[in-house]
Amino acid sequence: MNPTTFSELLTDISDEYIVSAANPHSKPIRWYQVSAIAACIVLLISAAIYPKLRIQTPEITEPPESVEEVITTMTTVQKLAEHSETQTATSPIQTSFASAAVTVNTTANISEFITANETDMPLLSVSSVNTTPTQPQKSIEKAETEPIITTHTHAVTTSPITSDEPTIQSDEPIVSQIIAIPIYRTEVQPLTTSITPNEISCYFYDPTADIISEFENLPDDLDLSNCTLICAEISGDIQNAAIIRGKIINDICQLYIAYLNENDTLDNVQIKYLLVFPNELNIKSDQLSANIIPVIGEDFFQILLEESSQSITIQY
Amino acid sequence: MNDQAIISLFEQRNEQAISESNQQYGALCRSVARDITGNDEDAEECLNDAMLAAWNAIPPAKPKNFCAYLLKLVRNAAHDRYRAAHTMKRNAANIAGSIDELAEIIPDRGDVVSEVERREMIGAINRFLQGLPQKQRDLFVRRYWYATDISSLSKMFHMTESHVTMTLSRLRKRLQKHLRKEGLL
Repeated sequence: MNPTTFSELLTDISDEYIVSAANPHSKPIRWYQVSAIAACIVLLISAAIYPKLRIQTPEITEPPESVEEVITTMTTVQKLAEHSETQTATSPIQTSFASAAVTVNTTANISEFITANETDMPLLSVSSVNTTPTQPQKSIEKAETEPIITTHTHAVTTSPITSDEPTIQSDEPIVSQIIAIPIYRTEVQPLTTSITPNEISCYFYDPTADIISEFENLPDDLDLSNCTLICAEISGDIQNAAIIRGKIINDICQLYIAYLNENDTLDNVQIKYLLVFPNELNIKSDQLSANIIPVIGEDFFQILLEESSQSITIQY
Repeated sequence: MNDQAIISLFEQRNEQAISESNQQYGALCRSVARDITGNDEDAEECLNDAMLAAWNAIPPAKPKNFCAYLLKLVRNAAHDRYRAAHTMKRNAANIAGSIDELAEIIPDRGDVVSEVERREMIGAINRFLQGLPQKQRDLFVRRYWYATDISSLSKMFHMTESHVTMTLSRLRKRLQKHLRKEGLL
């Protein structure tokens, strides 16, 4: 046999291979190829979107040691905080939070929380924490001495900056108003109803007389004519929770709720808060939303709880 | 008109079978013949020879795949012309290149092949082709059956010429290994 005869021998190969090679382009795409391509596209899109959606939950294990540490933390989360401001300002009212939903917003909330606390004082130093809740002036002074902090007033803009609005070029910081509103809290009560593990929810409603009577520390001389009472009912598989601050954006009052869930045991509890809003804020129960923040470290949670035991600040 | 209808025309001795075959597969047959013989005139004559062979063979032959059957007739006719041209030292086209490539793996031991050896060899080649991925198999058949040149293959399979050359080289080595394993080389 020589190459020429071998080439002639090739003439008799299977018809299938001859026809297949006649039109190599015109082969139909098989179903598994379509499936594989579709799966690849889905994976690519998921890979592109997922990292943006999934924001890691930073663990707050203990309060920062110094002002410098707080500033460093704030600097790293500054952009995240500004970004989340825009998002949360336009988000619908949310009165119930599943654990998954909470995780998505956690970083933004914590970053805002930290940003807010740069003016609210409690996070600045453990040793210098004053249990009296009316301390914000002191911390503002401290914050204003740091040039980085003063620029962070941008993070408390009352409305999101959209492309239609003129970009703020001025060096002057945007000044927001802060008001302290009294709050009253019930003890942590065990909840008999079944709750999904790791779920936490918060409901806002206008309290009835029976509900108000549950708050034993409510002063007798509270003038209800000048204020609006709103009850916040926090329940879930947690150890404790505390409303720590609030912010009014676009007529929606967002309350930041820190909760503690150190151990894995199912602790179904309920905590009720009575919020005393001045009438000038014109807040209704359906204008409230909750941003729920997990806190790690019982000591740190106790600090937050004590700081907000009598009043919380509302930015508007 | 489908293949079955064309075969029916052949069986009825209807001359329209030739024109329908030409219309359906003429271009493909011409390109195969042109790649082997190297010129259009010879290719046209190969096609005519193939049509005549088909006219004489059907009936009684009843090919299962008329396209492949016709292409084989064209290829045989083209090979006959190539062999004659090669004997007369005329320059043939792409088939010369593909035969040269095959010379790397097929030792020249004369051109007499027994029918048994021929059948065994065809069976071995079919088994080799069966074990290849479709793209590589099409590439191999395109190069060594259709005698398509490398540049056309690179466009056809969206590969660079060097990639085509490299792939074909590997396929030849695999074929050689396969034929040795079957005791045919």
